[in-house]
Amino acid sequence: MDASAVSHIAFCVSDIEKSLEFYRDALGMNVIFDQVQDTTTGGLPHVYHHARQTRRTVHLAFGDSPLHLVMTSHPGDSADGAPIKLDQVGISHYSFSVPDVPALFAELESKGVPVAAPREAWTNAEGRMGSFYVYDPDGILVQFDAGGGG
Amino acid sequence: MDASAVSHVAICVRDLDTSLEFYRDILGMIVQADRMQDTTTGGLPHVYKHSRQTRRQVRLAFGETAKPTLTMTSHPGEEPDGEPIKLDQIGISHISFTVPDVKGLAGELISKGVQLAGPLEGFSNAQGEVSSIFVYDPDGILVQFDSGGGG
Repeated sequence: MDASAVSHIAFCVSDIEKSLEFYRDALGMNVIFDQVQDTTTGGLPHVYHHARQTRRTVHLAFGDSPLHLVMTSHPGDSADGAPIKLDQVGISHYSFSVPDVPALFAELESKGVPVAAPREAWTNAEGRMGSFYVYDPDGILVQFDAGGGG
Repeated sequence: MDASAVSHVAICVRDLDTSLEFYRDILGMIVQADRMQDTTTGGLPHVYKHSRQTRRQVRLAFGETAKPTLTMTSHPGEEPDGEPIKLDQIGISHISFTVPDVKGLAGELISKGVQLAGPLEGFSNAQGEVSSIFVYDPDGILVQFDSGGGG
């Protein structure tokens, strides 16, 4: 197979306006695309749990990165499902590389973003914080790291 | 915030070797790292549903140093729970890869026994073009392939 790149990572949220306050306003991502789409034809009904009439789709990216986070909600329809933790089968989280992990921890905490554990839990014996996790407005885990994997 | 890039997307699977047959052998991803880790200390217990002793972590990408990696984990000897979601359920439903020939790839994957998420006609437009397909990985996690557009 000749795949060139990851084009997008898709997630479903309960309220896109609330999620935009997090991903756009708190994290500083750019909105590349924002459209209401028909979800009744083509392939989509095959990858939906329930029949849905429409979805609102917002593409987000850092700067002009071609890798998009694709966020969808179904206005007027209540969503089911619950975000998972790292040891449950499925896609648990994505991680963003940031230049200064401890500074971002302080910034997000001051903005009221729920962190998944207190500062000490993410700090090793040498006092270094290599990564931490927060919850987005739906409880989806989001990680920030210094550029390493994991 | 100054985030530069998505570094990885994390996936938990039941059986890493079975998943490697799909992501490494069929999709052609390259293994960048394969290691065992202690999961009892630090931040991990806070983002785990259950208490776990160890995990095997494999990082894959289309290239030796490409990012983002798929960071795949399993917990040897322990039974995972959880169930992959569809596109209209809260959480991260899938990742999508850009490929030069979606229809050609669909044929290739079908011949290798990969399960499409719907009939190929369902993913074709009125002109018979296929711009994106969804398949299931060995755990039933949705994986999309597209011709470069979004969605």
